Amino acid sequence: MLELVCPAGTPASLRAAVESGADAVYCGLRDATNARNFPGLNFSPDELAASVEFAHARGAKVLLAVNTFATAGDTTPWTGAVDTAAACGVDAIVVADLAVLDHAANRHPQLRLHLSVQAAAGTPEAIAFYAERFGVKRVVLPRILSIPEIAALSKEIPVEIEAFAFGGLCVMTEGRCDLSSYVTGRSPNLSGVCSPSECVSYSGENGQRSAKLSGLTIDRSAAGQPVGYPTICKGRFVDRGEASHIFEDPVSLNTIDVLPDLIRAGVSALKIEGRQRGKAYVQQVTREFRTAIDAVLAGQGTGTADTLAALTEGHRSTTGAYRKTWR
Amino acid sequence: MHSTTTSAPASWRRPARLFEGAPFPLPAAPPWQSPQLARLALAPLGAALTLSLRRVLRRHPDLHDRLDAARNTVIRIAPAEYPVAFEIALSDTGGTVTALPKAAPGPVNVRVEAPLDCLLTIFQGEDDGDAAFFSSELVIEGEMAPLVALRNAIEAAGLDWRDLLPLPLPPGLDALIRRLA
Amino acid sequence: MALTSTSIGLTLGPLYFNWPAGRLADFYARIADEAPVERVHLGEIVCGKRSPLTIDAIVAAAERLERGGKTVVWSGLISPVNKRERRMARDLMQGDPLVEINDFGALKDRQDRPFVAGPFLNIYNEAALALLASMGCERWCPRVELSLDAISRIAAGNPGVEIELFAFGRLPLAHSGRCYHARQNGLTKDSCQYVCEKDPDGAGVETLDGIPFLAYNGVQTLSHALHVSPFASAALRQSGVSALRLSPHTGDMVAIAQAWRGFLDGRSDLDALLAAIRGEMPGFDLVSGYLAGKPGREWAAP
Repeated sequence: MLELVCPAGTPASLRAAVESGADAVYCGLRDATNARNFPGLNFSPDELAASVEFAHARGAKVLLAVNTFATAGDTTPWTGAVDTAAACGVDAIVVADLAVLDHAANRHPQLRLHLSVQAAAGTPEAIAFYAERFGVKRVVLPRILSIPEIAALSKEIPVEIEAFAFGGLCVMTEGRCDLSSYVTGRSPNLSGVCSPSECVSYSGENGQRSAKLSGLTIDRSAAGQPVGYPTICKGRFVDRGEASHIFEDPVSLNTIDVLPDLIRAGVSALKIEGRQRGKAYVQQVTREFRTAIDAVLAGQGTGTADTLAALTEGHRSTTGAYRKTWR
Repeated sequence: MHSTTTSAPASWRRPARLFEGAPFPLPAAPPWQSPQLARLALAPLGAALTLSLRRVLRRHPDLHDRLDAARNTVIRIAPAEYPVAFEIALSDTGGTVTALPKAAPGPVNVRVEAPLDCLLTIFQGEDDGDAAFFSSELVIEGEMAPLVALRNAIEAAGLDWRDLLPLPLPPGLDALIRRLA
Repeated sequence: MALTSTSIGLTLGPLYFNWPAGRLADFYARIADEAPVERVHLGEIVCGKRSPLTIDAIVAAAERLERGGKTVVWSGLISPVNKRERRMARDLMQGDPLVEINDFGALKDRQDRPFVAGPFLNIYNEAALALLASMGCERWCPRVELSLDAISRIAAGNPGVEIELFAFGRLPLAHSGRCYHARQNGLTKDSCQYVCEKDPDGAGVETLDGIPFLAYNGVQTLSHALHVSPFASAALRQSGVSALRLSPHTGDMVAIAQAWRGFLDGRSDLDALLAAIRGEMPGFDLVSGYLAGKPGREWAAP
């Protein structure tokens, strides 16, 4: 089995993804229960129900991301999201929080559980813990493992593997990063956002453009140079007098070149990142990957990664940790 | 046109451009030399776009929640080729669009500038605004949140150039255009 | 002043940095003899490559600390990345001594025996901690980005679990597979030459405007500033906190622990505590924002 799993930030994007050849589409509700809690993005329960109907009629699956951590004192938005997912007939929910997993496993035992990358489960032991305790059927791997490591892992775990294939790259282990809350007070785990747009501002002076997060300069470049999302890990900082992208360059992940290796390593689902991107992005990336996957499965080559370059941050892409030299 | 730094071929980078350069000329005459006259000359354009905006908001009540972060802010969008800009100001009950000289003073929460065809293809969902941003063809200054909310709402609504018209096309013409598209 | 049953305890957390074996031996000897802490965490948690260098010194330190009346807790890796590290984690978990778990993979091997839940486990609500408690968790050190308000709610929902608050040190903010010490020195993690040893408090970096911001320590990213919990004992007790964790740095940790003891016992005030910290760690800004539900890099008075 090889599933192409594509992002949908709005019902319009979901339709575009399904029509472009996605096997599954993942989305979130319009609140902090998922890790793309952007202004104006995501689905109402009604939109979710209608989208599930649309997708199922065309043979595609819908996965609901309930992948952030329920807040102390009020976990009802999260348990409510799980209940909504079950009521709408989604094919699986993508979860990270122990409490949410527990609720889903107990109240909706028939609802398929996928372990979100936010759970940071990258070893057989960690994955086995979730599989045995909650009946998780699939794990989304943190983007810090190399392909040989994924191959070794797939032999030791009883669940399916979903790996990121394209899009924004987290250089820190997902679910284990507080950089955003250190600067803005909000983070993926606390609030479902990284570098919330409410805290992002751009200014231009002297032919230079600065990207600021809550007033703190995280990057500056000459006007006209490519830029990326203003996340701290992609910023430019000074170490011993020298400025550079210390943690990661503003690049995106693009695995088209290594698709055959990923597939051979035992990956059964390829995940495209980008719920916050528009439907034009979703369409183009889905089509490219659909073509590439079909070609690989038919024993042909996949072409090069260039065709998707314009959609990547900094107009440069990387295979990230999949090749070990990234470390 | 701004040049991009990618080495990728231009043909596949974006869908075929709607047009190259400024699609229609503007007179170099006095209106542009006097801000007050310019605003006066642009008022009908702003009024027409205000009608379009309100028409879209009425037809898409589901956008109300999506536009939360854009409400009670001033978003100024400017085509790169012309000395004009369009200010969108949404309120709890509706909104207005004002056409004004690009250099007019604020206050403005966020400014966006890009080639006109880039703005239109983003509006119609044929182009990914982020790609234009990454290549610096689209430039943003100010706060991101109102712009993100607006972009996401436009995406969800599935608009095209006919939604920019102040009044809907007569049904026969509309049907004809849809068949030809 | 004797530690009463209602006194807030002090714990020395696991060392994040790459200190050579000799330095470790001297450090823990002084802690054993002089530091007013009840618990001391030992073990490499950031990078499994470092463990072989220090394991002997750590084992000797454990004996010394236990002779000095301290409870030793063995901390596990935040993120085991290869077979050797996973085996080390399993051996640690299957042993008898008290352990701290920093990765969910270790839970299985602990088999419902007592453990401390470290600040690298994603526990953000009452129900999640309750689940851990049912698996043997007897003490929890919360994620550093949690506010005291959230912590107190979770504590209230789990009266059987002791709460140990991260109260002093550079904040651990992120963990990666990529080694930043290697990267900044033109190397890779596999051929790192252990350059992280050069920075016993981590390597600070600034923004383009010259503002001290973050620090890297191998695969770990920390705050540049030192986080300090500004709350006196009464406020801590009210929030359900029963101990504070002090993260080891190059400043005299005995003096720092003594300053904390004095503050918690009411013998000195917050200003005195901060002055003592600044005296031992000159050049570091002090922050406390997280506990007040604000950005971590702010200073929020109690």
